[in-house]
This record gives sequence, C-alpha cells and structure tokens, in this order.
Amino acid sequence: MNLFHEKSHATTRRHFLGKFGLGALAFSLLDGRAASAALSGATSDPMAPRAPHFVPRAKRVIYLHMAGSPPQQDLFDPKPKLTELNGQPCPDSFLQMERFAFIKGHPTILGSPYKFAPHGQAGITTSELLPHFQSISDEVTLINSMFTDQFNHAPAQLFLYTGAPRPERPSMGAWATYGLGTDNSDLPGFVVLVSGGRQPDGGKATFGSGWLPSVYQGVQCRTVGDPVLYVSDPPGMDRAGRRRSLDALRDLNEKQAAYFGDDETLTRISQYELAFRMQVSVPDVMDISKEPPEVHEMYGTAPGKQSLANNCLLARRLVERGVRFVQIFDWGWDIHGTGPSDDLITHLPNKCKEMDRPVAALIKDLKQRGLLDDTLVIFSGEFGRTAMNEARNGSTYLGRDHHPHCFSIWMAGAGVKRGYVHGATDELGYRITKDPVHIHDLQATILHILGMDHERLTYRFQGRDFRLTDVHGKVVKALLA
Amino acid sequence: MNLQHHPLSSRLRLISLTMALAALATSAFAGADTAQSGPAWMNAIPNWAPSWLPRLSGRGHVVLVHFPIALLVVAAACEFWNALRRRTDPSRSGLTCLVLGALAAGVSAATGWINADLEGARTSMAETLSLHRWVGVAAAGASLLTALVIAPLLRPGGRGPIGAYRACVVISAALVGVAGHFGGSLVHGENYFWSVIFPQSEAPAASEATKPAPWPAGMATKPGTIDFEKTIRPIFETRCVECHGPFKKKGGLRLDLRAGAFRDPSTYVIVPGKPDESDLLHRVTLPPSDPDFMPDGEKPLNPDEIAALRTWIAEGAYWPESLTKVEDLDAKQRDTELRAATRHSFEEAVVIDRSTGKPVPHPGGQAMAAADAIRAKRGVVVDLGADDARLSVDLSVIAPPIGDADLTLFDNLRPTISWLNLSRTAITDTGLNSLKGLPELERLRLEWTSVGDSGLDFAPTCAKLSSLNLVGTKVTDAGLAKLAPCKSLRKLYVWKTGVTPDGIAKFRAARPEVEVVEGVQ
Repeated sequence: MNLFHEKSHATTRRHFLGKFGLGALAFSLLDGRAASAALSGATSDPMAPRAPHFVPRAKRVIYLHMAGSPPQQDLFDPKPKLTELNGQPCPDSFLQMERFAFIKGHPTILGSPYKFAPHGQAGITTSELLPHFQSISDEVTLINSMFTDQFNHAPAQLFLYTGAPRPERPSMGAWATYGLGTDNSDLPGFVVLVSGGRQPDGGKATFGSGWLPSVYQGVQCRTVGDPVLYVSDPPGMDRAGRRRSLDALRDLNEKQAAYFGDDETLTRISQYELAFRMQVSVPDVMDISKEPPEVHEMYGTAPGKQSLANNCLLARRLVERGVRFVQIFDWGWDIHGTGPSDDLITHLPNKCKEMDRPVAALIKDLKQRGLLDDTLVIFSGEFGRTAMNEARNGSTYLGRDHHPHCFSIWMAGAGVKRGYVHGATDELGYRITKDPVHIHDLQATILHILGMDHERLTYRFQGRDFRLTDVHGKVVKALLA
Repeated sequence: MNLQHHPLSSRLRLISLTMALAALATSAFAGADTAQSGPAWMNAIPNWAPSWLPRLSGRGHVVLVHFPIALLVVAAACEFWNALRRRTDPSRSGLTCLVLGALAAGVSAATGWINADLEGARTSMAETLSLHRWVGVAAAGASLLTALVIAPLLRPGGRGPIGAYRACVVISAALVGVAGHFGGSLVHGENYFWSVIFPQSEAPAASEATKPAPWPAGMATKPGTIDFEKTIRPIFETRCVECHGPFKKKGGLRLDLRAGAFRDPSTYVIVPGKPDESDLLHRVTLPPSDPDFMPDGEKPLNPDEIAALRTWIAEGAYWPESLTKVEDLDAKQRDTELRAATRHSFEEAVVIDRSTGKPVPHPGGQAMAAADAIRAKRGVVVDLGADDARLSVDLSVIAPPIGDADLTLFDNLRPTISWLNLSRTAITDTGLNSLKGLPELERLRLEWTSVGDSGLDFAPTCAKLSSLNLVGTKVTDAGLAKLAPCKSLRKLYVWKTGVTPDGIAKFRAARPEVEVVEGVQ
C-alpha cells in the first residue's frame, strides 16, 4: 500500500484543470471521475486485516516497557563478582572511550544487594525482588545480551520503537498495523497505556505514526476518567444526533478528499467512524470493574486507578478482543540513587512490587486463556544500567547510571522459546561476551514473529524505502521456538 | 525581400529547400534497407561521429514531432479562418507555420525512421508502428510538397491556386494529426485519451483488472529452492521491467506482477514446470542477433541468471504476491493488486485432498462472496500469509455475537480454513456440526461459548486440528475423552470447564504429547 503515490496520482489532473480553468464542462467531467478514484482509497480501509508475508507465529503483541530502564544486575543477570568487588574503584578499561550521563570521576563497583536463585524447571536465575516472576520463568526467553546505540532515555526509547534516535519515524506498533491492519474494527489497532505518572521521555513519537498515514498511530487510553479523551458525547447530544452530524461531516470530508486527494482527510473520515464505534466499545473493554474478584486478586488491580496492574489487565482484555498491538509504558525505573525516590534500596523494591505481580499474572492469565498461543509479550527498558555506583554529587544513596552496552529483556508467548536464556555478559556485567542482540535485531525478530520480513515491510518517503530496522537488523533465529 | 508582395521570401525558400532535401535524402537512405535485422545505413556513418549519435538523433524524434503537429494544425486553422472570411490570399502567419511545420515534419520523419530502426522495430505494436511510419512519411511529403511546390505558385492579390493550396494544407494537417495519434499510441498505449472522456470505453480493461489475479495453472503453491523475491524478482526488475512493467507493458506483458506475467495462458511466457516450453526462457537464450532475442538490444542475461530462471520455472514458477512492493502501479491498479494480494488470493488456492490425493474443486467466486459476507459483518478473513493461501477466520469480533445460523457464512471457505476463532459467540453444540471434516483446520478457539460435550464430535473428523481452546465452556471429562482420538492434537485449553483433575490425568495418560493447560482454578 502506498498512499503517498495514491495522493500524487489523484492530485495532478484536478489541480491542473482547476488552476488553469479549462472550463466548467471539463472540470465537472473529470471531477466526478477523480472523486471516485480518490474514494476507492476510502473504501479500502487502511486498517483492514491483511495477510503477513508468511505464516505468523504471533498475531498480536503486548509490549511492557519499564521506562527509565531497570538495573539488569539486580533483576535478571546475577554478577557475584560485583558483590565481591563492591566499593572498589572500577577497572580503568570501563572508563576508556566512554561517556556517561551522570557519572563523574572514577566510580566504584556496586554489587547487587539482592539475592539470586535459580527457579523453575529451566533454572533461570532471578532476583528475590521478583518472587512472582519465578513462577513464569519457565515461560520466558530471557535475553541477557541486548545492547543499544543510545545512552539517554528519549533517544534510546525512540531508537527502540522507531529504529532511529530522533522523532520522525513510525513506531513499532504503527509498522505492525500498517503491515497487518487490525482484527477488531470497533477498537483501535494500536493502543497505548501509560502508568507511573509520566509519559515516556521519547514523547508521543514513541507510539506515533511518523510519516505513515496517521491512522496507524497509537491511541492512548486512560485508566482514570474517560478512557479516551473527548470520545464521549457532551450533555444534550444523543447518539442519533451524533450520527447525523458525523454523516454531514463525512459528506464534507469526502468532497474535500475528492478535491485535494489528501490521504489525511481519508484518515480523518475513518477515525471519526472509529470514534463513533468506540463510544460504545471502548468504555466496555476499559471497564475492568466487571472482572471477577479472583482476577483482581491475581493482578493486584484496583479499578479507577492509574497503575501498571490495571494496564496489564487491560492489555489482556484488549488482545482478547483482537487489538493488534498494546504498548504499555510504566515510568519510574530510572534508578540513579540521587535520593530515596530513585535508589536501589528503597525505590527499586517498591517498583518491583508494583510490577512483579501483575506482569506474572498477565503471562499466567494469557496462558490459561490460550492467548499466549498467538500473543507475543515483550518486557524491556530502553537500555541497561552501569556496574558502578553513580553517586551523583556525592549522593550516599545507591544507584546506577545509564549503560547502553548490555542489558536484559525477556519475551514470552507465541513464537519464542520457553525457559531459555540467550547471550551472556562478562563477570562484571559490563560488556557482552556471547550472542549480542542489537535493537535492530530485536525489531527484525518481532516483525518476523508477526509474519513479516523486516526487509520487505517498507514505506516510501522522500524518495527512499524506509524500514523499522533502517538498513540493519538480523532475525535472531535462536530465540524462535 | 518584400513579404508584403511575395508570400514566401527567397531566403526562407532557400533554407527550406536545402533542409527538405537533406531530410528526404536521410529518410530515403534510412528506409532503404530496413528489412534486415541491423539497419544498413549504420555502415555509412563516418568514423569520426560519436557512437551515441544515431541513437540520440533517433530519440530526438520524440521531441521534434511536436513541432509539425502544432505548426501544421495552426497553418490549417489560419487558412480555414481566411476561407471563412472569404479572403482569396493566403494567411501570412499560416504560410510561415506551414514552411516551418513542413521542415519539422521532414526532420521528424527522418529521425523517426532512425528511432524505429534502432529501438522500436521489434516492438509488439508492429502494426501501429508501421501505420505511424507511413502516415508520418506521407504527412512530411504532403507538407513539403505544399510548402515547396504549391505555395510558390501563389501570387499577391488572390491569384494562383489558392483552393488547391488550402486543400493541401488541410490534408497535411490531417495526416500529421493521424500520424501523431499512432505515435501517441505507441508511447502511451491505446485509448489514452478516450478512456478519460468515456469511462465506459475503459470497461473491458477495468473488469479485467478487477478480476483477481488467477493462480496460474500448474504453479507451485510452495516455494522451491529458488527464492523468488531474492533471485528471480531482481532479474525481472533489472533486465525486463523497463519495457515489461507498469510504464510500457510491451506485448501486454508485465513482469513486475504475477497477474501481468500470467495474464494470458495462450502466450506461454512462463509455463510452470516446463522451462523448455516457456517463451521467456527461450528468448533469453537466443543469440543476441535473433529478432526474438530478449532483453531487446541489451546484453544477454548471464548464465547464472538463466540457470536460476530455468530452475525456478522447472520447480513450478512459484510467484508469491507481494504485500508491499506495489508502489509503481497507478492508483487504481495498485488498489486492485493490493486486493488481489491481500484479500483474494485464497480464491485460487489449489488445495489437495489428502485422502484422495486430488485437488479439491475450486470454490471460485462463491468463496469470494463468502469472504465478503463475513467482512460485511466486520468479521475477519485473511490468508495465513502472502505465500500461504490457507485462511485465518475470526468471527469473534462480530457484534452482536453470531449464532449457529451464521456459521453457514463460511460454508464456501471450508476447504482452506486453518485458524478459526469462534470465541464469545452464541454458537451451540448443534452449530459445531458444521465444523465436521474441515480439512485444513489447525487452530480452533471456542472459549466462552456454551459449547458442551455433545458438540465435540466434530473434533476427530478434522485431521489437522492441533490446538483447541475450550476455556469457559461446559465441556466435562466425557467431552475430553472424545478428544483422545484426535491424532494431531498438541494443545488443549480446559480452564474454567467442567473437566476434573482425574479426567485430565486420564487424558494425559492416553495422550502424553498433548499439552493440557488447566490454568489457575
């Protein structure tokens, strides 16, 4: 599909004739035809389900993003050597050719204050901060050898979701819906849920459509108040009245689309129609109060609150109803140690408590409902954290700085191995020693699991065929089940 | 020199005469020996001339031709206007246009001849080219005759053969118009203009275009050893598509689309499985001097490319419709191709019945209609993949929930349904009977329906059923026992059902390879 070309084709004749005034006769003749040509785009719904390049392993994705980036040494990648060397100056080689976001001078090694133990049949070793994760560790593929190019939050998040560290390009969920459409035409194909009281640093570009038609951008739903802002009718407007006004608006927009041939007008028509259907469907799917008590118990949810737990439950409800891509952001994982609100001893355990139970519940719930068969779940931050204590401005709280050279993520569900650990880092957890996985490789693998070849999922913009993986990326076959 | 008294100045006459003779000499020379494969006049080009000169001058034709058309038509219009006003002397502007137009016509004819010899002689539109050539030469001849022989006979004051002059001008303009029409057809295709004004004249082409791309007879349904996208498409794109693509479509053949390559089976361009009967392979292996050689006028394909094409055709010429590589088509065609690629290809799928080893009869347009009926209710019908024509059907997203009666919706899709989602619908045990014997069914979701034990009789009749979701149904141990004979079953979801731990234990003992997911009770 190339709406860009559709636009250029639809524009020229009418504009030429319009501007040079060849007369009412020619204009009316051609305008009628052109209108039908432009609207053929409107009738072919940009969100209609489409076949992927090959048989997919997953039909849907839930991406759990811990914004700020949790410390891998304290959760997934145990490094006893760090504990042994705790408090000693780090090796000089750690500082050569290196820039840190905050660390200054010669930092000291910071061992993890938390105990690790192997769990489950696969014996994946995780931290005591994640008691619930132990129960799902046999379901996940843990990658300890992720690395990225970026060491600040916004560029690293953009890099992860759009393939470039600058805002402009489409996000992963936009690429997914551009490639596959969505199954439930009453709900957005790409839903974004945010908790932790803050938007991701990368801003809305982390779930935007970039230069793809804006119909593919993520729709942010709120867990407090109206799920989607401004979608409910104001007092005094009944549904029939809304329908009539939308019909009138659609007629005007169709005229506009026929005249200017701008695909954004078509996007707008279909978005209004979607919004109209969402007035019924969204409050229904977003209302978690109807879930039975044992579900709330399992997730630790509290209806009417903004929380990661609520969003995990919502994610399950959304994929159950055929939403293609659910993107969750939870802020608060930026463990710098500048005070008790972002340190390793007080803050990290609190965040883990908020996260561990609902995330494990989500995997178990998807599994028992059979949804894990065709849903891929990914859990990650945007980069890793240093093996050294940050001690910004002499802070006595423990914390770690940003670290792009290695970090841990996990995936579970359709298409990936169960109870598998991929890659390894050196004994101080500073660099990768085995099977490095770059961000572009992760993106290529996710698209592959969805049935798409990352080299063939392209969009022509400004004379170039763009991809999510830019000109890089290799599918990591070892992760695939 | 007094144009006031003499319509054609002698200097103008001198220049025009010289150039006309040169043009005529060139065209006569060029036309002397076109029957042979290589134009003989090439030998007469002096050594000092750069090698690109003939082709450049030939291609100049497409620029120059616009002059005689405009000039001669204006000349005719001027004379028409004068005749209307009952003037008996020729229009001076018209005369100037005529002389310049005749010159341009002569040069155009000459360069056109060169161009046709070098680039177009073996085009598929040979008949149109021939008409264009001879009408063009006639136009050049007529206009030169008018300018050089008849015009000089005119005398001031309305004396001279003004009637004959006017007739000749009009004939020249008409001829150049007709020649221009054929030229335009060569470049832009037939019906370039009419299709804009009279949409119905486009109708045959349009209906042909909206017909889903046929799955060509004999084409393999699975990839062979040659990767089409990585090996074959690049050959087509670099060596063939310039002429057999969205812009030129020579011979009606397009090698950028499956539908274009297999448009007409009577042409035998690519005969799946039979490289020696495939005209494409025949032509690329001819010696370059052969008139049928392809790529025309270019260097031959290298042996690796030819070998790859041969293997690819021998293995069934598997050509998957591409999901995203359609941007070069015009809007309408692109839409059609996109539909063909994403919505309709299942219609042509060849499904082999495992029990008989024979192809299941083609469901044809009924399958299309069934798919459209499901889509009209906002249900989902989509190919599993662009390279796999089995279907994924989702009826769970339809609101209000469908019931047993609605299951007739997919009757005509039965041969290819592979993934089927009926969760949260209002279907009952009776409805499940319609799932009996679905040959390709692999994944079935029935969760949160009122389905019970008696509905599960269909399961053993679906030979490929590997994943069955019964979460939240009324199924009990008795139902579970019915599933034991399902040989291909690998995953079973029984959370929130009447199934007991004992029942599960028994089932596991009978079928240890099946993963039974009980969930958190």
